[in-house]
Amino acid sequence: MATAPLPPPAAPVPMTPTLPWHWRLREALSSYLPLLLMGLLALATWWLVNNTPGAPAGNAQAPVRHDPDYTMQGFTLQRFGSDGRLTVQLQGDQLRHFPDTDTLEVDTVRIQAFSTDGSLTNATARRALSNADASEVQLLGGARIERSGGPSGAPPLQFEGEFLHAFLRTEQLRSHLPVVLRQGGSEIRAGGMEYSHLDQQATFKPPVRARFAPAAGGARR
Amino acid sequence: ARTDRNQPITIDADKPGTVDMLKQVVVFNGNVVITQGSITIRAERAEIREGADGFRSAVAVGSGGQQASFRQKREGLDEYIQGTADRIEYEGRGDVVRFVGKAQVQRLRGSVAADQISGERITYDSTTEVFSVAGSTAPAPAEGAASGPGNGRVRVILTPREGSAAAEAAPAPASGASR
Repeated sequence: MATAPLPPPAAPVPMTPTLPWHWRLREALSSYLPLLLMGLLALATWWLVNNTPGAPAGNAQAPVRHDPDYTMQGFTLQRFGSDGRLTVQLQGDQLRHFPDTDTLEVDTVRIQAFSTDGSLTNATARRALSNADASEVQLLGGARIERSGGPSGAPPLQFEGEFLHAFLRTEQLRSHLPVVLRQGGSEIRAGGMEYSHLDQQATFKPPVRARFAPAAGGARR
Repeated sequence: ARTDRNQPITIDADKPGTVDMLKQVVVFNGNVVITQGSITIRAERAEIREGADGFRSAVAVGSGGQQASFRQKREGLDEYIQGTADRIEYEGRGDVVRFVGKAQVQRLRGSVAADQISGERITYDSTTEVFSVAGSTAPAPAEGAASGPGNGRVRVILTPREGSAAAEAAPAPASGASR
């Protein structure tokens, strides 16, 4: 008996009666639970990676501390020219060298400089700051610089002040604090000063007060 | 006074000054006051030069409206010589003071102006106490010009000294009266 083939089965009609929604939710939850757990685990490891403290990044560039790397007590420092002649002699109670700024700091300093034209410069101060090659020296606290024996045979020249900034290469002297200049019988006090030894010129900042001793010629009468 | 030349010179200034050690010249600016013994010079700008013989000379220059002024006490008398000019030159050695440019010099007895001299250039030698005054060589101004000190002519006013006969005779010191 040839019966007509059965019509293809229709889409399976859910045989089970539709469950109430919270059942279906529980159903889905229980089936997706492993997936959720795996996802949570992955998140946890990702969080772990981010928050683990990194190893210290090598020797980080710590700010160089301003500490002396070597000091000298009761020292004498001498520097000789290429022809073997003593050019600068530095004496002091204590010297500190700072590597970060490559500067020298000297307490109660006495400097003697013999320049090519035969003149001698004496400098003393309670404290001195100078750069490595001593081409620039700052004298602080009761600074005194005396220059004598120049070729012109002029009387010794004396500078006194609380702060004197000497530029040895250009032979200049500068001070923004009150300073006293003495030469022979004359004396000039000023609020500040700039002196250039090469062209023998000094400019003074006010207030200026000068005092010239009576003429050396003496009174005829 | 004669002893002034042996006194130290002190100078005060309010503006930056310069020192030239080669030429031994010191320049001061900003209402400069120079004092040496009884001498006082005030000016806007002053140059102190030290001569080879050690004596110092000063050149004081007024500026703008303000002239340089000079004041000195006379030797042994209560009299002062006071003068103003555009430019005052003071020689430390011979105590010669030159007033140049609309110069006016007065001799003050105490505070009363005795003699008065005005002209273009006045030279006063405080050792010999001699005044010499010169008018300006500018051509004489038009006739109508006032005969004030500024017109280049020399003008001297001398007053009789107290106690002298001339003083009693003329109670009011007429200008131009001979001494």
